Parts: sequence; structure tokens; C-alpha cells
Amino acid sequence: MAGTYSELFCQSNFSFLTGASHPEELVGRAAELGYSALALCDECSVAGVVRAHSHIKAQQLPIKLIVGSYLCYEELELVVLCPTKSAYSQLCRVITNARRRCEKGRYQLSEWDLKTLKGCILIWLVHGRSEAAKTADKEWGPWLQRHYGEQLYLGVRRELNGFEPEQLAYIRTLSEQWQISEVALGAVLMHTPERLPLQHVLSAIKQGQTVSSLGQSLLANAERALRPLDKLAKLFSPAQLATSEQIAQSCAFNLDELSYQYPYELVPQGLSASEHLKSLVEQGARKRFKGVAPPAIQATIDKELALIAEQGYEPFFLTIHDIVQFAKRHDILYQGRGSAANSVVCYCLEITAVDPRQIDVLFERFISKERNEPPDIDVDFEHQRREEVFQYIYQKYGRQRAALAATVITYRLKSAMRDVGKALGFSDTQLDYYIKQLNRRHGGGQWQAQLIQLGLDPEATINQHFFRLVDEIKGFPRHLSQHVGGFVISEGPLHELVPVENAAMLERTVIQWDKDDLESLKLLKVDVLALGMLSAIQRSFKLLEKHYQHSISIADITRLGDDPQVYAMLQKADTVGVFQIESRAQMSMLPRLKPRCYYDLVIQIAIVRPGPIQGDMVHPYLRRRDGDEAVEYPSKQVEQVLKRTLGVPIFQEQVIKVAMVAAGFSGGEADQLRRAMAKWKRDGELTQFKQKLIDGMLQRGYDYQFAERIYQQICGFGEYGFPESHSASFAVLAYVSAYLKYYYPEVFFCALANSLPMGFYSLDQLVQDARRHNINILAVDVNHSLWEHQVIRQGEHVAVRLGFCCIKGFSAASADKLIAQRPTSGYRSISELYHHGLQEGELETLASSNALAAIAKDRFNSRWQIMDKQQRLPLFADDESIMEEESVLAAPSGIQDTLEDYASMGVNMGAHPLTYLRQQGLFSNAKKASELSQCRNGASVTIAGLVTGRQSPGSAAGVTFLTLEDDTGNINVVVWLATAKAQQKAFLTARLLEVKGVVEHHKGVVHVIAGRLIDHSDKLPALILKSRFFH
Amino acid sequence: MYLAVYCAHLQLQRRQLQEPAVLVAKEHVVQVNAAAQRLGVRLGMGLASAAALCATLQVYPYEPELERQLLQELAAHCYQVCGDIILAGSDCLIVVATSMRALYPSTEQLFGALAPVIRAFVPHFYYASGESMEVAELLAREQRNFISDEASVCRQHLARVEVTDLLLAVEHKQQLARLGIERVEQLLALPMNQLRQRFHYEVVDYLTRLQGQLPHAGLAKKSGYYRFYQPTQSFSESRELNFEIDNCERLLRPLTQLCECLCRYLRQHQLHTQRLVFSLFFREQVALELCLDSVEPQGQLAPWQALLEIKLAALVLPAPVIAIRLQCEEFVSADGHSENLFAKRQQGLAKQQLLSLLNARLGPQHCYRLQPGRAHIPEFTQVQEATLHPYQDGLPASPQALLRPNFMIEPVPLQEQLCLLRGPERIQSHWWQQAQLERDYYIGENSRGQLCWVFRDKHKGWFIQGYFA
Repeated sequence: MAGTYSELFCQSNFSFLTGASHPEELVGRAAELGYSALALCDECSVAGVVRAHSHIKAQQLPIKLIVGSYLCYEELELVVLCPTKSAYSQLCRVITNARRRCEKGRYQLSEWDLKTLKGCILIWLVHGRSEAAKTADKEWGPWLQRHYGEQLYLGVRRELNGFEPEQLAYIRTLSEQWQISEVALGAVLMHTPERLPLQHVLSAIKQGQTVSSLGQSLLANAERALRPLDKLAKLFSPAQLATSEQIAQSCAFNLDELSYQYPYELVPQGLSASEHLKSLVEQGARKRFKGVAPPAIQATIDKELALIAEQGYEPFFLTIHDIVQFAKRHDILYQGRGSAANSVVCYCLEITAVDPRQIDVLFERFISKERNEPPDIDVDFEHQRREEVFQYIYQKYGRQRAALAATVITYRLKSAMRDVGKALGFSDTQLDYYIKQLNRRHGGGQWQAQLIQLGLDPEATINQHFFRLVDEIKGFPRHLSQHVGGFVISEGPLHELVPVENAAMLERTVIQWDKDDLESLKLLKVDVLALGMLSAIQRSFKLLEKHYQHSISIADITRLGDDPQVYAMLQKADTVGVFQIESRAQMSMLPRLKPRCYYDLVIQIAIVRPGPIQGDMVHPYLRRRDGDEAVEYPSKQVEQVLKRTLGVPIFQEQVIKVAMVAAGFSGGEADQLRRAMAKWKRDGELTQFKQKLIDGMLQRGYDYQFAERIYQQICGFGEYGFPESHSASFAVLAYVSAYLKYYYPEVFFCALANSLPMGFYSLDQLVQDARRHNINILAVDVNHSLWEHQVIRQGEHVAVRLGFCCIKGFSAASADKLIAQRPTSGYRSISELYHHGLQEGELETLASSNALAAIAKDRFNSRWQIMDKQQRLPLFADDESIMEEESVLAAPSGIQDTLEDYASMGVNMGAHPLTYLRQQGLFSNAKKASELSQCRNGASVTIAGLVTGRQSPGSAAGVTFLTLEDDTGNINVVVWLATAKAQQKAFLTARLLEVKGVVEHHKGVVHVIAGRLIDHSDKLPALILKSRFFH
Repeated sequence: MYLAVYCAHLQLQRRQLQEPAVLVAKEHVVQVNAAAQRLGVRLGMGLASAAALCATLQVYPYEPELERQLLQELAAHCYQVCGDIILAGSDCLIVVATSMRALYPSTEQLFGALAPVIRAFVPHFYYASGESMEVAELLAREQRNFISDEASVCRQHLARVEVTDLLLAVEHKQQLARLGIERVEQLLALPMNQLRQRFHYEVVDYLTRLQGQLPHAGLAKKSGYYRFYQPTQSFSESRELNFEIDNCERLLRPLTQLCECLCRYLRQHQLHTQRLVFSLFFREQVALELCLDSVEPQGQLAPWQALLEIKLAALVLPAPVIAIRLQCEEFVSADGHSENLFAKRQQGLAKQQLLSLLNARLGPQHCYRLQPGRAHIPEFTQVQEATLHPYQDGLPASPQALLRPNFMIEPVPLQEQLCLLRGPERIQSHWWQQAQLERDYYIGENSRGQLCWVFRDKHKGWFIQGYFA
């Protein structure tokens, strides 16, 4: 066939559980086959078009993308194509209307919607397989022709099925009857015929049945794949083919035309956005720099403003400025982060509180022009108040103009195994078992190999299909979900730009594109995120103001400069509750890295991540830092990139830059690399860059090992990317929280406890740590506590009183009632509490938490009293004597007190359980956590404690880190793979563990390398202490 | 006095597995065998943890209904030696020992008679006696394994039971724990009127029952938890043979006599049945079961006898038979199956009888009928189905029928010239069963004017598979 062909009806896997190819695969294959255009028409969706568009651009494919959608209304099936931008807006509006009428995942068109698709080209799909369908067609035919005239076509599909001859004849009749031109359509669902089994599996998943039971409901053949031109020439008439080509030529709309406008209402009349931004920055600079900005700073500001103006990003900065001003007005603490957030402009606009003079950041801290990235600013808000910011945005811009970006939820290994397995007829129990087995710590190897080990016969045909199909379906989109906080806000209605649909969460709407799509089209989104630590810091500031009359802010603390005493505390790894550096892995790194200044913290936060660990960059960095290894650079260019991290790449930006300077990646390629990193785990896209990276580096004279390590690090970043710009902002919060912990431990503890749940530690663990720091923790008391925990300061004496909030089953409303009616002298008896209308159940929880200790007997007898139904009869209401009956029950023992504390509050107010066990003569030989630092390196020891953490980081090659808590502190236990495997029973299930092992000291870090593990969980049978697992 | 027998892990035990195995419900282990226990697998453990402890763990779903059924069967066995059996939950039997005093003067003797019966059914079980059925059940579940007619001994055992093990709702047990009450003796030491003022009726009722203070032993009001065993409607008749029989022909007579007994029973009860199970017992070998299945429920001797003859003709006895038994447990009412005079019915019955005969002669594994399916490939549009399944007429509903020939044949290579009239209809399917089938079907006319259904396979070979006329 000499001519060419345009496929006008193609559904990708964004027609969920129907299309069996990615949009990229479809355009890629169509270009290979020599198609001149391809219309991506997912069902009531344009979610896949940006991917196809970006792929065409990135690969410079000689094919045109037509944006369209497949819509069903009653019996009517239509393919709608967008020849122009206005037609595209119409389609987006119609999709939005149809989607917004229904719950997530469904749509409902109306006749009116169809009438408004004036600018679109419509291809009518008919089959005429039943009389009912033919009758409906008779009605729709004239209607469609009346409304669309020349823009209406009849689609001719050649699927080589058993109905075809009649269907073709029927179409011919309709075409002649109403003078509608026929056009060739592939109705494509797959980019190659080899996807047929996957398409069958998707159909089975959709219908909730097995493939073998679906019979003729499955596609009969693979004709709905992209077909070669010569085959098409045999199937369709020249006229039908020519029409498709002619329609494609009339479609001139390109997604690049979408120029999106940020809201201009933030710019006062008479000013340009640029002028307004400049004046705000000037105002801010005067405030920030107490008058006039120093000349060097002013020069940076001018440079940054020029760059912003050049890219037209002013409204973006103005929008974020507006949002943070709202937060400021409402006293919501926030902090900006990201590459652009660390600019002086953002400091002046009060988006960040990091004084650029104090933090002498050496890195390029602004929009990267050569990488063609949009400015990256995420703003974190106090997690307990983020919703207020959301509501402000909705209120200010309206739901028409503001929506959340989507997150595409894709098939991952386990979901893929489950769905494919069911479709192939595997039993639920069998699948459950396989999936659970994959959870195993020492899995290792490929998942297929693991299943074979579990007894799946690799020779059986069905199992081979299972292996292949699971791999194929991985990365397939399953549904759209909402992004954590990425807002798209526009000048005009958003639905003219992209369809908006309902999210699962009530009152939330999402657009049909995710953040990568937005980035590809250079549309800006504002990330409004929630951060628990900001709540804790804000609470700390308020408490400082109240109890110490210090008015202080994040900016004030950073302005004070690096405080050696705060850093001394960090170097000792005394960081429970400190932002980002409180995890076990971070704690073991602190004494080795010994941070001395802000930038050290930036590195500290970024280094304990899968990227640097997998790239084997941690030890070289530490050796160089300690002067044990010379700092060398393979080349001048690499030196520029890696100088501030002593020649060792630590940050995500650095490896990307190394790829550019050392492997010769262009800006565009680097950008693709960055995106592939983000999707690595999902799609495995990174492998395509490996050869290019390594070849490029070898060609430029770098050694193979260095290249391989850089690649491994890139893979590591893929699992958890961590750019320097974010680390820099987090380091500020880490420092501020450490500063508060050091100087105002009671205040910090109280604020942290009131901001739970957040961070790594439970209230109990925070309390244990506070006690080790000699903080006086006062128990919940019916006569003194408030709902939240509070700082009590009397002269020099400072303490923290726990609040009612930690009592399980005691409501805030009851606490309010109890506090509001509390006599100044306090309650005197339980009956008094009765009279204030507290429910029996809630009183019982108060009794069990020992909050009634001051006015009643022990907790068992108080609860016993409260349970007496007779006491609540009106007859006895005023008779207090009845309440004061004899103790019937034995008072709790020490261990019972502890158990009750855990059961009622999750916090132990008494002695540590280990203390009781020691009193019973157990673990008399065991060293305490506090004694370990005195043991010599290599000494054999026995230790015992509650298992409070089991971490088995993927980067640690099967090593598991156990945290044992005893009465004096936490002990770090390293369990090697072989040890764990040999003693699985104790290793996996013990809650109270005795470990015989060897002490290891290394640069201030003390570990015990486990030898024998002995499970003593039965010694504390009822102890309710949830071990926290991290995988 | 009551005697309770607790058959822990009943469903799993009946599987008689040597390898580590568990039963799971909602991804948690609910039954575990000894081999798995040795590896550290415990009840309540998540499936993931259990699997991590033992890579070769065998996992089966827990089926509560099946377990109740098993308990019912066990009770039927026990019913041979004692009456008055109460089923508790799905894994515990309680026998009212006092009502069996005439036969067994002591509970010990009752247990002596019962134990071998139970052991034959399930290898491991726990037992205890108690003043009330709740006490007996509790102590059996506590695995106390003691029998005594002394109330004081039972009370001593009871006093040591932990409150967490009581058969009470979790919230009630938590309530007790929150008062520091850990053992039953602490609980029973509290004045009953004080408890009544504080606890739910269920708790007080249960405690009263534990103390044996309720005047009559009615079943507690837990929906369906306790139920009296009622013998199921079943027929079982055995014969000890006076001499060993090693010849099938001679076996026919005594077996037919058993059949006569059954038919009498069926007539008396106005029942029919579809399945008879004969057991042939040998001196040493395991008993041999012969199942006779009829496609249609029968109550007459003749058809069963015919089937029995055919079955025996194919049988080779492994050893001389010393005893025989006939069991029949599945019945249907005879009302719906009375013979009538309509010829069609008679014909239908003849067909059914033929099927029964074929089944008996060839074995059900060799006897199929074809059912229409809805696959694209003609070979798979006929589904093999055991003849004993209820027959469904007609095709499952299809959106639209494809054009298919009336006369379908096994594909044979096409030997003649055809003029193709319609096609191709391309079918690529059934990749999940074997290598994917790929065929292009056409309708063609041969020189004799026949309309043939032909296809070309992926090796370009032509085959004929049917005729339209």
C-alpha cells in the first residue's frame, strides 16, 4: 500500500480494564507501522493523551496525535474527535459534566451534552445486531445528522468476526439512507496482537469471572490490534481509508496549544503581574532585611525576578504568596520547600523562613532553565489545619477553577497477582498464600522464582501465562485517585483545559491528569501538603509564648546560627522526636557523621536513604569526611557538581547532573531520566538509560565502577527520590525541633505529644524518652488535666500534665463537660461526677486510667463502684455514703498497674515492665541499655527488652535491626540474615526477647550483634504493646 | 454430671496430614496441626507470619459448616454407645452422664465406652467432667483431661481457670480483666447480687451455670451454639456373614437381602434414594466401599438389583468378605417420583435408567454427557459434564447467535474444491488451555451444492468441520 492511514479510534489502558496497551506503546507502534495519525479515544476520558503526546515529542515520532474520546449514551456509541482547541474545550466540558454527575469511576451523559459538541467531529458506531438496535439507530440517525451535518461519519470496523457481512451491509444502508460518509476504524485496544491474552484477562477482571468461563464475551481474535497498512488496504475500501486520512488532516489541535493562565485576580488593576510581584518582593525584602537588602542579595533578587519574568511564572509565585498569606493571617504554620522555594524571592515573599544569608547554600537554588523544569515549590502546613487551606482555595477560586491533580493508581505486583490469578481460575486461598509468602523478609530473587519454590509448577501452561501476564499488567492504570495536595488553579474554568471528575472523597474533585502530565504540558500546580512537625513546632511556639513569654519563629531560630550545644545533642543521637533524624537508621548515622552545622544536617537527612545506600556512597563520604580517604574528583566538571559533598554524589540533583556532565545526557534526556526515576519501581523504565549512562561515562574516560555505582544510586533514588532542595528545607525543621528539644524539653515534648499521631514514636515511647531526660510527667488527673497535655510551670519547676486525650474511649465532648463543670476546689467524689452527666462507660475509662486516684480508691475498686447500676437510681442519687463502700477487689499490683496503663492509655506511668521482671529474678545477668556503652568492644553480653521496632530496610541486604526497650533505654540489635533464618520463631514472633550477642562499638554507636535469640513473650502474657514493623 | 469432649482442630485433624498444615479464615490461622506447631505456627497468627515460619506450609480454608457437619457425624458415632448428646459450637460434644447411669454407673465407665469410638473418628481430643455442661465444656477446652464424679474435684479445676478462657463475649471478659479479676476463683468469691448489679445478664447467667446453681439443665440461650443431637434420618444395616465369601456371584444374595431391607424402609417412610453405599469388610484389609448411584431417585428393588448385578460383575474381591453393610443417608420424598402413565415420562425414565446402568458399569469417571457452552471455538462449545449432574436444557443466554452449521463433525482435512461464499471469521482463542488456536472460518459450497463450514489453520491447512445443509 502506497498511501498512509490514520487510526481514528484507539483506546489505551486508560479505558480501564478494556484497553490492553499503554498510550506510549500505541503511538510508538503506530509510528512504526507508518500511520500518519492516531486518535486516542479513551472512554469518557482524556487521561492518557498527555503520555502519548509526551512520548511522541520525546522520541520525535513522525505521527500526529488526535485527542478524542469514546462516549456512550443510551444505545448510542460515538467517537468524538477534537479538530480545534475550542472543540477540545467542548469535549472537556462534556466529560466533566458527565463525570461530575456520577460517583467516581462512572459517567452519565445527557442529550444536551451531545448537542454542545458543536466543534467536534463525531464518528457514529453501529452494529445492527438486533432489531432494537436498528430501531434506535433509525431515531438517532436523523438527530445526529441534524446536529452535526458534515461533521458526522459512520465508522466501519473490520474485526473479522462472525457478524461482519451483515454489519457491513447495514452500515452501507445507513450511509446511503442519510448520506453519511463511511470511515475506516480499527477500534484498536492493543498495540500488537500478542496482547490478546492480556485483553482477555482484563475483560475477565472487569466482569469478575474467569477467562475460561467468558466464552463469546471475549474478543474472538486479535484484530483489534494496530494492523499493518497493507492489511488495512485489503480490508477497507480506498474511499473509507481516504476519509480517515482526510479527517485526520482536518484535526489541527495539538496539546502544546494549551496555554494555561494562572489567576490574574491577585494582580491589582493597573499593574502587571511582574510589577506586582516586584513590589511584593521589595516590601518583603524591607521587612526581612530590616530596611534595605544588602547589595549582593539585591543582585540575586534582580536575577531571580528576571528569570521569573522570562518564564512567565509570576502568577505562580503570586498564588503561593496568596495562600501562605492566608495561612499567616490564620496563624497556621507553614514552610515552603523545593528548588524554587529556597530562593531569595521566596524568602522575601515569606514562603520560606530560611534566611539565605544564614544558610549559605551553595547549590543552584532556582528554576533550572536548561533542564526545562517548572519551578518546584511545595508548601507544608500544620497537618491538623491543612484542610482550612484547602477550603480557602476552593472558596477563593471556586470548584470550577481549582481541583486536585490526579494520581494514577496502577497495578503493582501483588494486586496484579491477585487479579490475574483470579481471572485464570486460581483459588483465593492459593493466591493469598502466594502473596503472603512474597512478603517474607528473606524473599530475595525474582517473584517467579519464589513462587516456583512454593510449588507452582513452572512447566504448566497456565502458570507460564500467569508469570507473563502479571508482568505485563504491572504498571497498568487501575483508576484515578487524588494527589496528596497538588492543586491546579486557573484563570478560566478548569474544565476547558482538562476534564474534572469526582474523587472518592466527598467534596473533592480531581482533574484527569497526574503531576507528570501537568509537568509535560508545563502547567503549574501548587502543592499544599500536610506536615505533623509543623503542628508540633507551632504548638511549641505558643507554649513558649504562654509560659516563657518568648515570642519566637522558625526564622528567628535559624537567624541565631548554628548552636554547638544543639549539635552536641544530635551527635549523641539523642533525637527522639526530632524531625527526620529520629529513625533508628538516622540515629545510628548521627554519631558517625557528627553534624556540626546546618549543611551537615542537609546531608544527614539525605544520606540515610535508599539512593546513597544502594549506590554505596555512604562509607566513602564518611571516610572522606573523617579524612581517612583523599577527596578526589574524576574530572573538573564532576568536581563542580560534587564539591560540596566531598566528591560523593548524595542528592538526586547531583546524580542527574553527573549524568549530564559525565555521560553527556542532554537537558531533555536528563529530564526523562528524572521522570523515569520516579516511576522506576512501577514500570522499570530506568533500565533503558543504563547502557547510555555507562557507555557515555566510559567514553568520557570515567571508570566502569564509578559509572555502575552512579547507576545503582539512580535506581535507589527511584525508590525514594530525595533532592537537595527538599533536604535543605527539612533540615531547617530538623534543626528547629532539635533546638526546642534541647532548650525547652518539656515544651517540645508536650507539643509533640499533642500533635500525635506523627513521626516514628508512640506516646509511650515519647514518655519513656522524656523521663530519661528528667522531665516530670504527671499522670492524668480528673481535677487537673485538660483535654490536651499541658505544660505546668511554677517558678523553676516545670512539668507536663497528661491530658484526657490519651484515655482510650473518653470523648472530647465529655472532657469539655467535665472541665467546664469542675469546681475550683476540684471534684470530691465519684458521685459528683455522676451528677454532671458523665456516662458510665466513660467514667469507667477514667477509673481504669487512674485519673480518679485523687478522689477514689485504686482503679479496680473505683471501676467496680462505677459499674454498680443501683447507684445510678435516682433514689440513691444524693447518698454519697453508698459510693464509699468497702473495697471488694484486691488493689492492683505493680505489673497490673502497668498493664492497665497500657490498656487504658497506651502509656505506662509506672515502672517499666522489665523492672518487674527483674524484681522476679528474671534477666539478672542481662546488661541494661545504659550499661552497654561501658562494655568493651567485642564483649559477649546478654540483653533483654521489649521488641519495639523491627526494621528490615531493602538496602540492608537482609539485615534486620531490632530495637529492644528495657528500663533504661533502647538497645540496637543487629540480626544477620543467617541468625534470623536459623531462629525464625523467636525472631519473627517475640515481643519480649532475650539476646545473647556481642557488643560492637563504632565511632560512638553501640550495637549488639545477635547470636542467640530467646523468646520470653510468655512472661508477659497480657502485655498489650504493639511492636511497630517497618519493611 | 456431664462429660465433655473437645476435638480441637477437628476439620484439620480429619485431613490426617503429616506435613505442617493450617486452616485459615480471613488470612489468620484458625487451626494448626502438630507438625506446624513444632515450627512455631500458632493460632491467630497472620498467614504471612505462619508462611514465614514454614515455607512448605499447607494452607486450607476453614469451613465452619463442614466442621459442624463433622461434629454431627462424630455425634452419630457416639450415639451408638450413649444417648443424650449435646453439640457445643463446632468442635465439642457434651454427654449427659447422669441420664446414662443405668448403662454406665460411673462417668469413668461412660468415658471408657465412648473414648474408642471418638478415637476412631479423630485421633486427638480433650475431655473433662463437670457439674454442669458449661463446666464440663470449659474444662475440656482447657484440656484438663480428667473424669470424676466428685463435684469438689471439678470445682478445684474450675477455680484455676483464667477469666480470659471463659466462654463469654470478649467485651465481658475485658470488663472482668479491667477489674483485676484474673481467675475464676476470684470471680466466684464475689457476691452474686453484687455481680448482678454490675454485669450483663449473660455473664450472670453463665456464672450461675458454672456454679451448677440452675435447677434444670436447659440449654443456654445462645443462638445455635448448644443443640441437642438428633439422629439423622439414615439407614444402616449390617450383616455378619456366617461364612466367608470370596465370590461375587455368591455375594449378590446377601447384598440383595440388605437391599430388600432398605426398600422396606423406604416404603415405610415413603422415601426414595439416589445413592446406596455398600461396605464389604475383610479380615485384614481395609473395608471396600461400593457406591451405587442412580440418575433418578428409586424406591423399588428391581432397578437397584439390576445396578448391583452390573457393579458386582466388574468387581474383583481382594480378599474373602466377612461382613457387609448397607448405608443410605440421602433421601428424597417419594411423592414427586411416583410413576405415572405418560409415555414421555416412561421414556425419560428409561433413558435415566440407562445412564444409571452405564454409570454403574463404567464408573462415573468414564461417563459424560455433552452440554452446550458458549466458546468461540466449536470444539469447546460442548462441555463434558458428569452424567450425575442435574441436566440443564438449552444454551446459556447469548447476546446474539453466531452462524453455525447444524451438522458439526470432527475437523477433517478438506479434500475437495469449494467456492467460498462467506468469511473469514477469524478466531484466536483458548490460549489458556493449550497453544492458542488460530483459525479463519469460511462458508463454502462444494460441487454437490453442499454448504460446508471450513477453516484454514495457521499452517495454512484447510479443514472441514460442518455442513449447513
